[in-house]
Amino acid sequence: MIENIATGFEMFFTLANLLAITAGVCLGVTVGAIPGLTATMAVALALPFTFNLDPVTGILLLVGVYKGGVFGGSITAILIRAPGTPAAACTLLDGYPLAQQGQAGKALNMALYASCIADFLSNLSLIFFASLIAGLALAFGPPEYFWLICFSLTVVISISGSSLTKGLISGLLGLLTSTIGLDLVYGTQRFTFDNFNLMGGVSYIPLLIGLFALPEVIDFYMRKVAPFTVKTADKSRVSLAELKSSLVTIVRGSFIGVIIGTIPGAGATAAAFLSYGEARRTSKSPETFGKGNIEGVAASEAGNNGVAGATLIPLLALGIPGDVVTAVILGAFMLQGLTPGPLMFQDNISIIYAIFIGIMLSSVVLLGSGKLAIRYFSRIADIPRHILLPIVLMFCVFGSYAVQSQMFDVGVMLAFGVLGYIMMKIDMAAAPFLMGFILGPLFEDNLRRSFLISEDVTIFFRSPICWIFIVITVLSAYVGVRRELRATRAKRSALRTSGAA
Amino acid sequence: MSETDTDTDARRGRRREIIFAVLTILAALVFAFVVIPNGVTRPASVKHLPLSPVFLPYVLTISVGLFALIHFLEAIFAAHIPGEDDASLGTHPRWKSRLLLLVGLLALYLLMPERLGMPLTAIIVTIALMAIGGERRPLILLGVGIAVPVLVYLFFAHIAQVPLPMGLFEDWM
Repeated sequence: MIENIATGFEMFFTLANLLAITAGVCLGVTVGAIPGLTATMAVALALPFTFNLDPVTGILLLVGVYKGGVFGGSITAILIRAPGTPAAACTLLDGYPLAQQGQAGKALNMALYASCIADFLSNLSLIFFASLIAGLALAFGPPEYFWLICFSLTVVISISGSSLTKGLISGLLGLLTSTIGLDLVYGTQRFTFDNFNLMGGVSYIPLLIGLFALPEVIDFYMRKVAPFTVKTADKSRVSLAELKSSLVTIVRGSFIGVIIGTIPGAGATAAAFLSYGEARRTSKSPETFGKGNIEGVAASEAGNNGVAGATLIPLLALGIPGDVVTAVILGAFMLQGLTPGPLMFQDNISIIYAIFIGIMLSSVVLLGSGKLAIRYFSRIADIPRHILLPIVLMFCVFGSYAVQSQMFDVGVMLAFGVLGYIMMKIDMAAAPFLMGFILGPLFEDNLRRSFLISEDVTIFFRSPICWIFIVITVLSAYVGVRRELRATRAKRSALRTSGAA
Repeated sequence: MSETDTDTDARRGRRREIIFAVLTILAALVFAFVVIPNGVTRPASVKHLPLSPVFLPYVLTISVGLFALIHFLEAIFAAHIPGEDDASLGTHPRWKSRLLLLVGLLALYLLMPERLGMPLTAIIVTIALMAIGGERRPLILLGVGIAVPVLVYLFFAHIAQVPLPMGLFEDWM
């Protein structure tokens, strides 16, 4: 083993590998920060560059792009409420209000620290628990997935905003929107009305951009004065005390990310929202979440970056890609003549160790390049809003078009932008809508696949994993609803008291 | 803020919540009785109810209706809690004309890229929006309005390899 690790070190420590991982992270951060361009797209764009590279160099380039892209998505989410990636939609819940309060620097730095710590813990999990966690992931069948998604959906309660019923309606509308497209079991049309563009469902990138970024643009032109201008030369930073107090949240979020990332298909968005919900549930001041709580930023970023290393667990240990990005990375392995899976640990263990060393280093590179990116990207916040917002709109349009190279997606983005604006005006949270939309297909797919396996409903109670998730789903829903009702009652009694006074 | 203002705001807020709940219930009814029957193709036979393509849409629509009903009852019987928007900034005095202009410019983004090309459409809309936002310096209007869309176009078309529509300029490229 020691000999293999030594060979791995020898294989890794080349200038080409160091350059590849640095270039990858920098490219990922830049592309991830552009609304519409996702980490997946960045990895796919970088793939052709790996053809002539050494296997380790090529894989590290792609892993660097992926990790950079996941963090990069949070930059524009915090600065201009336009999440670069779906998972970053959770970061904007508290990141954007912090930017509005002139603390963009603090929010960005906390996002970076949480990302790096979560990424590091996720990488450690990948190295030490790959085979163990991959075995656990294999125990997940459709019923287990179904309950996992049910549990994830209980987060909607925590992100409902000022009204629980409105938040739940928003989540249900998101789920309903996710049913648009061809039915997966029978292949029949649902709400497509013979429109070919809708057969594959509503694209999530235009929906995401429309729902979060466009309402800000519309709102700016409808208001009497600019809603806010970030103070120039924002020097706010994360204090050591703030980092220390958020550390538990970051570690917890990282492990939520690791667990969710290990399970193929569950995704970073669910992890970010679950981590956020959990941070709010355990916080002493849950009412400050959504209004600029730095812990909210830490929780969200820890959740979504915790996924980054863990998604490589099923890929390397079992040869199963957990999401689209890892599917592209799997393609890169195959192009290099390597087949991830148990055999790779026997036949190419030195390459595995070299990749592990590179992946560990990527967290450090992310910290450096993230700091650099924050320094330059945070200047975006200094641009006057009347100049910045037309440019944001342009990125929204270009980014939506880029998804499938069709104007239909621009229309989808504009339609959801109007919906997002209406939701903003009627005080209905948009985050539950996104959560419902992202988890909807997984929810329905696993529900129906369970019924295809067995027509008996007892299949949903077939294993201890099912029971664990049933219990935590019920508990999470009960605790969440009780807390929200208590908070509402407290607000009402405060109103009555102030009225009486 | 005086007590009368607070009462008026509370009444207005309550009315808004009632309207929202009623409209949502109506939308759920329309969805259940018109949109789902006409928008979802049902297979001839379904082995199990949850396997039907209409199962989830119906469950979700009914749930939306139920939560809207709860919201309606809450709006009628419980004290109104002012939302964040209630106390925020008011609308622009010329919001109607600005809204029309904005809708026009958004429609331009939707309809013109295939005719004028994406870069030219972006230049027109960006300059127009900056002008509506209050920018009057020609150097900024033209400099930012032309340079940024062109740079973004070059990035998307040549680095990200996204084939953006060029419209009139298709043959030039």
